[in-house]
Amino acid sequence: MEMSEWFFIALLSVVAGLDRTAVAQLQLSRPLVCAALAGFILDIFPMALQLGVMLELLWIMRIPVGAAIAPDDTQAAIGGVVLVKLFASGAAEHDLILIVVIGILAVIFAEVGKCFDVWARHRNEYFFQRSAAQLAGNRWHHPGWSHLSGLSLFAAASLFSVGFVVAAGFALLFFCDSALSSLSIGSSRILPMVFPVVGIAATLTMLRVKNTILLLVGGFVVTYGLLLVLGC
Amino acid sequence: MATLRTMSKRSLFRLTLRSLLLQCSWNFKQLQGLGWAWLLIPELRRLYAPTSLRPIVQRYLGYFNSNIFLVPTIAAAVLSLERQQRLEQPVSIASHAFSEAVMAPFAAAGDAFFWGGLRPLCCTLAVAGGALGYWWSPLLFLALFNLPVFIVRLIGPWLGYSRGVEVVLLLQRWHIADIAIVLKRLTVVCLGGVAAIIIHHDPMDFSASYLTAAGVLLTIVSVMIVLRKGLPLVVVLVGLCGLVVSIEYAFFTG
Repeated sequence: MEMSEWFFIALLSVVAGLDRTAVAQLQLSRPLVCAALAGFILDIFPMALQLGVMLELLWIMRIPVGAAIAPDDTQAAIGGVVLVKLFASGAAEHDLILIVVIGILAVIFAEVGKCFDVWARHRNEYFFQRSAAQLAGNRWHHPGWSHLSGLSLFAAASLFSVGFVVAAGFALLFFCDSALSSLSIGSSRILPMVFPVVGIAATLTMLRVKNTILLLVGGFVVTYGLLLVLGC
Repeated sequence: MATLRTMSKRSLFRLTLRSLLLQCSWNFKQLQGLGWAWLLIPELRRLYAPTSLRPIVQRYLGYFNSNIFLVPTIAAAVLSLERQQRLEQPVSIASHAFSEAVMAPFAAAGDAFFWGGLRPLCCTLAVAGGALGYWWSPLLFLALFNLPVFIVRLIGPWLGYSRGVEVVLLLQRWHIADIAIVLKRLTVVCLGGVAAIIIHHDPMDFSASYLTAAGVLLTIVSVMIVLRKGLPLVVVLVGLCGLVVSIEYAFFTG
């Protein structure tokens, strides 16, 4: 990877990381969106989109409500795309298995990335205390600066998180590359389906809607029939 | 010099823009507390003289947590009440008490609609597009989700400021919770569609088999049951991958 690519990935990591909590929440931080953007930057868009789809399905129902902190799916997706770029060989079967393995690593590393997010949020308590003290001293402009200072912590947490995903993933894949090659000889039939299946099941579990099975099968039959009729 | 004119549309728009930075200092003790006070300060400075401003701001500098897309609406309603109090007009509830009373109902309604209903549906549609290989599926997701959000963010403050306390009634009148349930059901139907697309677009020959379709649906239901028992997602994912690799090596390789 070139330096300019690393720079844009770091920039994307910060922008998406801020969008996740601190700024606007335009949903640039969703795995599907940020993986596609990272893929565009690194010129591996189809593979990045595939990884984004897999991760998005797993984390559809991770919602930012109250004090619950979700795994860092944003940085896991961006870091995952970087790993795909670093280890993709160009052979379709190998790369398909590589994407699945990186997806699993991303799911595990997202839990670690969450720790950096929690760290930033704990550090933000200091800014609140400082603001209260500044307000008591009638310094009106300072609470605004204290409030906006939180941005730097969220940005730093994003960079730490994506750095960890890339470094840990690189170390693991570097030593396991030969095992990956032997895995790709015979495991490319059903394995790529595991992520969507688990993702759909995880989403349905969280949605808790009446007649779930009936609605699911109905949607499946109608879509499958349409695809067969239209010959897509 | 404090002025008591009503907020202009421009001021309300600036309130919406400031609300985009509401969670910059999100923390575990006060959650959105500092951002909430920061959001109100410019208008409070316009309403109150510097000498009397500090206790007013300190009332708002504490715990606050609500749905981020509905916060501008609450803020506008609170500022409308603040103006009425400043004019010494009778108010049914004090402005800071109103903000404390409505943040939870607005959070519940907003989270159910935006996070629980709208976003899963938009994500599922985008994933379906992505599974079909359409490059624009992430853009579709951003457009579908952000269009209603922008409308609420723009119109909300105007409704909040013009209706004041009565803005709460809109939550009931618009049946937001009911709409969220409909969106969730649509999401389940779309997820069935995603499963169908994934099987249909599988490059292997066996994808056309109805047995495979039934197998995938049964696996989804089985994984659902396992996840409902409380097994972590990572464990289920890794376990299923391991099982699939073992089966493939046993039956397909060689």
